[in-house]
Amino acid sequence: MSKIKISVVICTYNRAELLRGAIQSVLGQEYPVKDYELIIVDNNSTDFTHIVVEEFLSQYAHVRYILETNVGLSHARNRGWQEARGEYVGYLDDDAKASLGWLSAAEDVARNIHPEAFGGPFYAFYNSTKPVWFKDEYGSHVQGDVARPLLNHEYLDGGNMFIRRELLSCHGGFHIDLGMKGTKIAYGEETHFFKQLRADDKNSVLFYDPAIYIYHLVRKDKMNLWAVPKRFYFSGVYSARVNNLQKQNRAGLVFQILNISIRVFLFFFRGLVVRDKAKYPYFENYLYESLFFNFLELGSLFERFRISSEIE
Amino acid sequence: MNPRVSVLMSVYNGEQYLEESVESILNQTFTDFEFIIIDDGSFDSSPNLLARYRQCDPRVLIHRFDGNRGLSAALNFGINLARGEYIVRMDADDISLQNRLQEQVAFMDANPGVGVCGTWVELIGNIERQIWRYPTRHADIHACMLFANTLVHPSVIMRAVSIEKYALYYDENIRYAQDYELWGRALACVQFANLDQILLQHRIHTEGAGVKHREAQYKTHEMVYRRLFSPFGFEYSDDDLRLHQQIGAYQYGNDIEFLRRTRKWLETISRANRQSGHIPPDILDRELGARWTQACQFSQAAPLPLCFEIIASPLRFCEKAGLPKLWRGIRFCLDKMVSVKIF
Repeated sequence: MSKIKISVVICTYNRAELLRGAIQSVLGQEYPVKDYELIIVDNNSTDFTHIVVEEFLSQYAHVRYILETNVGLSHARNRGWQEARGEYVGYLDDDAKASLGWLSAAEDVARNIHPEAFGGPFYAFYNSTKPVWFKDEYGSHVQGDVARPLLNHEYLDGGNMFIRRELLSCHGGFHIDLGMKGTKIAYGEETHFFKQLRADDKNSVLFYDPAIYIYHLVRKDKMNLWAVPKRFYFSGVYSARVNNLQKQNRAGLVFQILNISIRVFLFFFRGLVVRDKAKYPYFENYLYESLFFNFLELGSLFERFRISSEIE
Repeated sequence: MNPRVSVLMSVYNGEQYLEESVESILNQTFTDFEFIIIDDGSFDSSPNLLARYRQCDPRVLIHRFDGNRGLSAALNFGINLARGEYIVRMDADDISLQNRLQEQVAFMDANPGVGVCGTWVELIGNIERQIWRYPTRHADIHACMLFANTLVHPSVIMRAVSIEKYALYYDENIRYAQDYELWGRALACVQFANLDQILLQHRIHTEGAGVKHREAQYKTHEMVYRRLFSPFGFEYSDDDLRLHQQIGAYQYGNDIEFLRRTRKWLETISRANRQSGHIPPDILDRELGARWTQACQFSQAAPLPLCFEIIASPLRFCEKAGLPKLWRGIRFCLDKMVSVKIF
């Protein structure tokens, strides 16, 4: 048997009906079957996930099904690389669909550049109507349209990333206190890992190639305007947790929090009166792009405040 | 693996014509499809009929809703269930001709830019035989869509990728004319087409939704008009939209005042379009001209003011083609006078 180049890992939790699309997008790749394997890590789903997977298991020899009973995305992702045999481990979300040339583009990068980790953008797709104000950009993540190594403050997206397997095993994989657990919102496990990687070896390359693109589902509840601040807030909280912070001056933090709160407040009223109609066609766009974004910083500040108090 | 086409049908108490309709799909010359039927809470014999088809043809998939959730919800549910590359719509009271899938799939394969494609239809039911011939090219369809729906809903084939990419799902808050609302959104994202062949027999009910729920439909139409006019960047009032709706529904008034307002309104659209370049001006002007001509034909106004309106308007006047414009107006009004027996 020839050596497997890429192990694709799909971690899933109670999304049986979406999982089929994700699996099919991988199996439909224009890429030789002998060069990759597909590992589906079922994070103890309670729905009909195993039925969906079994249908594929009987037809494809290079698909494997693994049950991980420890609930948590980090547990599932760790199990994924532990079971993998490929040189690189590619992670794909269960609510995503890979583009047709996803694996071939990935192999090109792996062979020509051989980075520590690499990945690409994702674009939005839908399974329900979207509100008029919702722009496709809100559901996409694109870091430019040229292939390049990412800069120090940039990280790959967890839904579309390939990591060299030996690096995962020598760093012990993803931090189990971070990352989604069941239905609880949490982020940051991959960012934490990439930070470790860079701290360990300054010359580590995280490579970004727009040719390695996927489509990611924008669920209906993600398009609810009033849930957006909460999501931004939690990303802020976890970005603070990932940044190993020292104790900070709490008075300074309070001042910054007040500063941002007042800014949000004032900008809200300014937006009611006047806004750039070309940039923000609807008031919702204004809220999303120029107000709710501040909640990211608010979340991060509150979390830093909490950490500083705990250290004391 | 996956079938190439998913045929999608929603049934609500449709026992009367159901068998004819289902069999017209199962007997298609193109065979690589799945047939998703959503039973939207029927309480007649439809569920039993469907269960029988389920048993004798593995391509039939049936999903039953416990209550009546409406066409939009049923279709969205079906679209998310569908595995095919194309989604074909079908109604429980219509009949597809045998080569329908074959022709439409071949067309979609040959034109990867097209996202939505309808066909010409023949009307059946207790009305006289009639054929609806729709424009076939995208720009023409777009121009026509400004006034009214230019695709027969059950004749449509859609590309599944486009639906996912642009969120082209039915709005579940709308119960009537949901297809028109969807096309209104989709026109900006994908190319439209109609096949110039009759591939569907479309049943018209004289007591159908179109007749019973005019007011609810008008609400939807107004929404679509606002969406379609927004790229033109011009101001209009609610009265203008009422007028536009009347023109779109061929409900022309017969007094000179109506004609005057129509002329002003159509000219405004034409001008705004020339400025924004949203639809190729010659194509939109042809459509506006056709509507204008019809409004004049219908009008019972006195010949002299009518003649004046026609001559004064820059809108295209289609009657008496080949004559200079001045003559066209005069001849048309003379003919009209003869027909109402003034001489």
